[in-house]
Amino acid sequence: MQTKHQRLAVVLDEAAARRVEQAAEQAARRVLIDAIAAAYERNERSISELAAETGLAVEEIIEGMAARSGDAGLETFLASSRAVSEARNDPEFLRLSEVAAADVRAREPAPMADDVT
Amino acid sequence: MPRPDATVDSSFWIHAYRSGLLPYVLSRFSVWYTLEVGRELSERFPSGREFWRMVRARELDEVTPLRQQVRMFSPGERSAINVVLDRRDWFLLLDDRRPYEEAKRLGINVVCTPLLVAEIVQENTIDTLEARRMLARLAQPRTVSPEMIRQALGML
Repeated sequence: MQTKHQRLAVVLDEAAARRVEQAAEQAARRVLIDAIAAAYERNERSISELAAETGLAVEEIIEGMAARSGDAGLETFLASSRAVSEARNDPEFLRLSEVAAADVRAREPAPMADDVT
Repeated sequence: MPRPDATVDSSFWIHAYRSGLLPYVLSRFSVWYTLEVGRELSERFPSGREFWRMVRARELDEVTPLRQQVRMFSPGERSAINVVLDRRDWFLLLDDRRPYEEAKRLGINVVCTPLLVAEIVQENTIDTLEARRMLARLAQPRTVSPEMIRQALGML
């Protein structure tokens, strides 16, 4: 079956072109961070090795993974706290961890690089 | 009392900075860095800026490994491990799982951020709520081993 192709041309002024370029770069970085996170979770490489391979900074990867993981990291922290709390039969142990997690959630998002925000 | 010498890896530095642990690291150890670790800490980011500010203020000193005994891992991790293999009374400040396990296997005095949090609580330097906040911040990006965080929680 023959496929019809259509060509679409867009004319952008300099500012719009810059915004499109930045959006594309950010999307590419997100894809890269996803791939890095998957490789890291498989325990294949260290963060520094992944930084060297991808050209991203180590700190950019860590902050990108923090943004990507959302609440998942804190949920793991709380699950570990719950296990200790139950093993010790000490509900206060979990309560303090919940206070700490809430404090961390309430904090402003971690600052990103000057030229990435 | 003089602080023991320690050489730091980049991910440990970043985790210590973002969790609020860094001042306790600096009060506990005389911190050194290798050229390769310095290259991994970019001034485009907050912890990298703090690192280079301290280098310029001569609060951190550069050290070079004498021999290349370990050839695995990233240039930064490799150089930090090799420094401590030359100087067996030094500490290695390192978080990444694979090089951490290798450093332990080599008999190096290796310290990771979660276990350091637990140690400073045991010394009554911080309370257990502040320790939990640090551990929660360390857990957030999922770049610190959950097993190490679980161990540290078990020590509180």
